[in-house]
Amino acid sequence: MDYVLSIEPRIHTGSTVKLVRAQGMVPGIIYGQGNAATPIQFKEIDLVRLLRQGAASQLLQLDGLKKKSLFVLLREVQRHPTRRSLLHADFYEVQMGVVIRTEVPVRFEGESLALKAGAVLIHHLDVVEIECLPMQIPEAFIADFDKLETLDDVIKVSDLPVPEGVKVLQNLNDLVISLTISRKLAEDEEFEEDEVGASEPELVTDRDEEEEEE
Amino acid sequence: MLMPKRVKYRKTHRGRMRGMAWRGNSIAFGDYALQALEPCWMSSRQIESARRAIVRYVRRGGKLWIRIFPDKPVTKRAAETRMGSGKGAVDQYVAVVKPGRILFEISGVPREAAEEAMRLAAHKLPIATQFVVRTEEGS
Repeated sequence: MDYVLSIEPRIHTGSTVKLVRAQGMVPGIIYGQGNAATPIQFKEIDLVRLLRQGAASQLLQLDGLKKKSLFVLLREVQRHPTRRSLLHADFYEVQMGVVIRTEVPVRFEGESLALKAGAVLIHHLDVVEIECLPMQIPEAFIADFDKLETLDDVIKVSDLPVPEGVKVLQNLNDLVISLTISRKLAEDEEFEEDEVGASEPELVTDRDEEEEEE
Repeated sequence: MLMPKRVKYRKTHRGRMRGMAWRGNSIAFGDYALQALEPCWMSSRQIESARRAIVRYVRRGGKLWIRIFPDKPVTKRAAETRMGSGKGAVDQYVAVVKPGRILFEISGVPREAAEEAMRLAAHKLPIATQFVVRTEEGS
């Protein structure tokens, strides 16, 4: 699937970048391959649509600059802490024949017996770091829930099916998914009501620090 | 209640609460979360009260994460004492919360249950909050 984003060159930089956002555009920057960083701007909705289609880890084609077309990877997206609107995006220019490092999301498929029985899923990794040619970046790694039959079952990075030409940089023993039992109310209700004054924190003294250093 | 086990200094300055939470503003562990929309000092009592409200509502399942920790000591002068004679005694511990900060995360429960649990918890807190859901693109 081709992901195309229309961009424009940006004049406002530094603190005047507010003017770009006031026009309903999002500031961004393109860098990589030894070229000078190029400030750009684009419509927020255009990138949001691409992100919804799963373009966050995929090769993007940028149209609108003097160059014919530019292939980039989305390196970083800054969002507003509460509104989650886009504030800024970094694009990394790639060369088709050169191996790159990037992150690919993990998606989940199948049905787990343990989850049906009431276990709780714990996500350890949302993305996996890989190295490959730009055209070989997989859309996502698929973690199969069918393997999770008991509480002790886990999905590790080594369990993910890796396409040919892709090298996983993450430690293969890293956990992607594990299961835990849900909390029982009975345990929590036994929480003791202790006053702050009753148990003051211990003060770290110089002597303690010296002992720690040893 | 949550409080530090060991501290380097018993009393600290009050500090300022300017700006937004540029860290700890996205869901890291669970599927649903409660996010602060205003700045405040959230006391360990308030955190514990909200935690209880959540646990009480989702009594059958789920896992809860508390993403803030009250590590800031707040002092108070004894009643009817004259000014001077140094800083008051430590009264409580608070977490400095800025807008955007994720307060609680939960997983393993249906969305409706998580939403209602977070609504009940929000009533125990001194600030406006919003319910947020984990998405792949982080929006």
